Amino acid sequence: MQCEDAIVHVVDDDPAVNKSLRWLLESVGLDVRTFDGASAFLDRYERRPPECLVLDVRMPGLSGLDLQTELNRRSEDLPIVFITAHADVPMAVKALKAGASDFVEKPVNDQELLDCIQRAITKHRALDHARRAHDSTHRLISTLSRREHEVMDLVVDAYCNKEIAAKLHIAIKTVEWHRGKMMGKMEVSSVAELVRTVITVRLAEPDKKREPKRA
Amino acid sequence: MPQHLNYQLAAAVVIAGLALICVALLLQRLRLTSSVAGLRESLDRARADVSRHVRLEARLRTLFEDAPEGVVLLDDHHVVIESNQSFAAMVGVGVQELCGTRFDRFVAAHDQPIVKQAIDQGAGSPTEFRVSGPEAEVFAEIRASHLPLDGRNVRVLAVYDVTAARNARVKLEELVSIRSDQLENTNTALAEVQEWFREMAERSDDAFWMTDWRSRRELYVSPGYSRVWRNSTQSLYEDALSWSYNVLPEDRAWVVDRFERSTNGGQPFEAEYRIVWPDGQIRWVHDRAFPIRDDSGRVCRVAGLSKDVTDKKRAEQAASKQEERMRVMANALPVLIAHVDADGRYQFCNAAHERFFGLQQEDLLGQPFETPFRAQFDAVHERYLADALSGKQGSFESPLVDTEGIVHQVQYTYTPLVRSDGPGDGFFAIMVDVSEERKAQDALRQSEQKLHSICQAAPVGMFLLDSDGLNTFANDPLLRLSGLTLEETLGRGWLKCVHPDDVELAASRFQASQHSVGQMSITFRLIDARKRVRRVHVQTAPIFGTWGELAGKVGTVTDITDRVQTDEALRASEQRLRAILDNTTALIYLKDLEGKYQLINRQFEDLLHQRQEFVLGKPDYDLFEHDCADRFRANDRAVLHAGKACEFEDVVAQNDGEHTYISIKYPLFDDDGEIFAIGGISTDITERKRAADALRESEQYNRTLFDSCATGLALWRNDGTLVDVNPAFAQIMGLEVSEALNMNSWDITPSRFHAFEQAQLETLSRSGYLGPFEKELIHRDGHCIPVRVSGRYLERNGDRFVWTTVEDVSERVRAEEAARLRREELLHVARVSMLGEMAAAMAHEVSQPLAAIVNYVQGSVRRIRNGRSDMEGILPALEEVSKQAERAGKILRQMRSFVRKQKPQRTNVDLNIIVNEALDFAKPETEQAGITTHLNFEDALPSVYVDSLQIQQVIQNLVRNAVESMLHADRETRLLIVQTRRTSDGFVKVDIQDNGQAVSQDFVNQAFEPFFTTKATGTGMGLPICRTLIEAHEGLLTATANDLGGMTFSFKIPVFSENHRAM
Repeated sequence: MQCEDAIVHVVDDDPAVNKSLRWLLESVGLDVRTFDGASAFLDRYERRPPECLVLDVRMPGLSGLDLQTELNRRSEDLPIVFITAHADVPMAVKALKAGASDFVEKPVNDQELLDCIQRAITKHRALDHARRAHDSTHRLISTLSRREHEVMDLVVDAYCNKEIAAKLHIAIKTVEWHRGKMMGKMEVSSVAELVRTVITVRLAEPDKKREPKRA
Repeated sequence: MPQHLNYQLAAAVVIAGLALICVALLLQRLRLTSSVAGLRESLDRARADVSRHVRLEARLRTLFEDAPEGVVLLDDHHVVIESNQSFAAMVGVGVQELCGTRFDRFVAAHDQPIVKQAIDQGAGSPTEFRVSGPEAEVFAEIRASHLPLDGRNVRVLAVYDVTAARNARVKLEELVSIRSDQLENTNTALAEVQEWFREMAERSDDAFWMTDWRSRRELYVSPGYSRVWRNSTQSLYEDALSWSYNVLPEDRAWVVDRFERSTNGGQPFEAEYRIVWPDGQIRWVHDRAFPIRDDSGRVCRVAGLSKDVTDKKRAEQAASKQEERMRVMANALPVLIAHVDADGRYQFCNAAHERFFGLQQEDLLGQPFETPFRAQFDAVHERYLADALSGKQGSFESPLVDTEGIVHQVQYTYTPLVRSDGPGDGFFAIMVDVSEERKAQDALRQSEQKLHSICQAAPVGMFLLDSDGLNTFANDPLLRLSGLTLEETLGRGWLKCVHPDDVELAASRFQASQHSVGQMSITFRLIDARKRVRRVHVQTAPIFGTWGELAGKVGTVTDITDRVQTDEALRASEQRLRAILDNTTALIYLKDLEGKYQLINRQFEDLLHQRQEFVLGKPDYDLFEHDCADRFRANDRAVLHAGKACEFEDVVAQNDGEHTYISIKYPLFDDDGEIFAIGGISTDITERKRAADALRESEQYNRTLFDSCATGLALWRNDGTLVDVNPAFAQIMGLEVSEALNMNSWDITPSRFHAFEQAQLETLSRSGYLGPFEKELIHRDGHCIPVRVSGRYLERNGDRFVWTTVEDVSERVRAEEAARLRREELLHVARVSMLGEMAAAMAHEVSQPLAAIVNYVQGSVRRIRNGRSDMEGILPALEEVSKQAERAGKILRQMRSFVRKQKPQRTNVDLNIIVNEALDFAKPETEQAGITTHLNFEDALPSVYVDSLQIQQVIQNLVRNAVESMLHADRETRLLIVQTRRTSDGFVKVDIQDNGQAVSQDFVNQAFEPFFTTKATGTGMGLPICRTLIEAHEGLLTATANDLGGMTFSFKIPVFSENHRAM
């Protein structure tokens, strides 16, 4: 298994179940943290990818589904594996629609549960990677001046220097000057590299695509 | 040389110099064109100018020096530069000294500001001020002007001495002021007089008028005219004669005639006449008119004053009427009345004179007083006449012979008419014939004499009191009795002989009867001449005077000492007897042989509602019903016949029903041994009889009640033997009353109750009350009857009994049993109906331990496979597996017992333990919801007889409800309070309080109905089942809103409820 560094959070109101799950999961070398309720988890949870959440659906107080809703509200990307004593179809559909990673029934087949956890952790790792790339690009873009930003957008949109100068009503030399600085700030050495970097951000935030131009 | 002239001169020289310079310049300019001749000419001209200026200056100086007014030049600081002689004279200082002094120095202090101002402004208008310096008052006037000179602003002052003019003006002003004051005073006085006169005329009620006689026009009519005439003043202005139109027609002609004649003749007019007011009233007017003549002696004006004198006139008329009445009265009097003037002559004599002296009244007037007396007017008469004329009152008696020769005794009374302002106005003589009076007095005196003798000879004491109640006379017997002298008895002196203890009584009685016209009698003690106490009876009777007025009292005093002593002894004896008779409750009476009552006591009076006076002398027939009276008479006859006391029982109808009397009647024998009366003593025994009857009836009634009561009633001795039972009691055991009475408490009680009953009896001996409790009795045919027993101690004739009611409760017990069965069935149905939900819940419950087991096992398997752990390492997991398996089993057992229909497994338990267990069970839920739980358990609760599982279910259910109700509330504030306590009515109570949501009582009531739910997944059976469970334990489940803002669910379960059940 390639999840030695991963954390598995287990949330179940029944201490016996909690304890037994820990026993099972630790047997494959996972770092297990148990919580006896949704609130306890919410109180103590800090994002540390890669990780996943093994969650009992039916609990007094906040139920498993309630916790899922709350995590979504907080834009947490923590993958959830639901376990339930008596699954019904509507509940499973609801959980999966809300982004659950998997849905298994108690008593759990150990291999099935471990596979689910494996999938969830892998998924979380990928998500985390993308997120981090996205974050760094954002950081670089934020160092650009307005004019550099405009030039960058136009370069990415494949305008040549001359066209850019015309659009921005500035001299070609000035465009070149801005462009040089921008490339340096964005830590890219070629237009292709720049385009790739910026495009990923734009894809992640399609609605923000035109914003810089208006600014 | 005055300085300013130097300046002028200097100026001239300068000008000349300038001219020279000009010339020089001209010369230079013209150079060659100048000529010596021209230069000389210019020089000459300049010299001429200079000399002209010198001349001018000399003239000016002379003017300056000789000016009659003072001239002063001042510099900017008002310092004198130069001044002339006139000014120096004015201020009395030398001209030389003046230079260099400040001008202010010469101005009086209070004038300085205006003078300074005048100088500075250079105003042309004169300003007057007082000069300071000279001793005499000097006033000056200055006119100031400014003269710019030599670059300085020189002030030139012209100073005029205005002292004389000022003094003249002041004097004139004073004069004018005095004159105008005088004038003003005169005018004011004149105006005041006019105003005063006008005011008087206007205000006066009298009419004041003035007529211009030639034109016959009124010049002035005062408002009083309208008050006197009741005509407007305007009417008189319009027609000067209009006043006469109101004069009464009889008077008008002569009034107008006299008025015209008098005034035309220049004579004053004065008359009183009558006028008629518009409302018809006739008023008297006193009118006066004064003609006023002009220089030529002709009447030009007439002034007049008219007054309303009606009131005065009426008073006069009334006075004259009064006089007339007096005259008539005097004439009608039978006495001689005369008014004699200061000269001793008749002014008036009444008609009696005519009768007495045979002289006409008219003839006597003006005649000397002695005329009618003729020779009989002797010295005595003369003396009194002289006295009366000199103002002295006098009265004397003297015989007078009338014309017919009859001698009259006449009393003369002369009353002088004294005037305050001088000699007397004569006197009134009143002469009364008192002959008859004197005769009567003589007769009276004789009569009195006779009476006095009788009085003195009488055997009783006699006395006389005057109208003031004072003693005036006491006869000899009275004096002998009292030992006082006549003088000592006078007034209130007689009280001295009264016994000291009776003085107050006697005095007050005499005082009280003083004005009464009735007789008075009183008995009191007095101390006689020999100091013995005597009891006297005093009677007074009124004496009336001539006019029927109370003139006094006559009294007699009788010594009744001996009689009183006898009477008192008798009365005391009678009173004693009477007291005995009246205070006995029996009727006592005495009848004569004819059956007429001779004596009755007060009881008898009360019975008949009649006083003794009415009853005495009446026979029975007048007092009682006929048949009743018949019986009494028959009794009487029986007594007469027997000649000895007999006893009878009589029934008499009275207002309040029939009364029964026991009467003893007995004959009374006289000295001869003959029966002369029948006595009787009757005692009312009705009440006694009634009480006896009532008691008998009451006993009968109670017995009937006792016997017919459907509840078993029994009276026991303490040892358990039965004293009395009613048929109902006997019937419970299928026995007859007589059979039951042979039984003992222990015979009819099953042996298993003996200990219990013994305990109850001990309670009875402590508290005095028994039960209520339930036990069983043994029926005649051997089976047991459940009964409910209650009782108490009963004291009777000093013995203690146990009084019990015994109730057959077989029916009730059977009904209760049936009800319990039904309830259990219902419970079962409820349980089954809940099964659906229960199954789901249970599935979850059971799946939890199963899941845990699986996890442990799989975890262990993996560890072993991976070689990560040995058998030792697996051991804890295996222990956990075992625990979870047990848990699953327990859950399944619980579920089974809940569903199974079985009699509850009841044991005696401590409710605190059950509550604790239930709360432990619910702990995950309460902690999950962050609820703070307060436990408030009463220590050492008595145990209850319950099915623990059922009660736990109830508690869990209630706690779950509470938790759910609080989920809406803020997490931090959620509070659950669970308390247990013992109640005073023998229950243990559990309260489960939350602060979730309070709901209305209606809502609570609904919540106990089956299938009512507020939860999406609820069955609506929770609370109804809880209630059923608690009620199956004879408990009570309630819900109320609490002051935490939530609900309190409480249930209570009776203590020791297994004992009830056991009986």
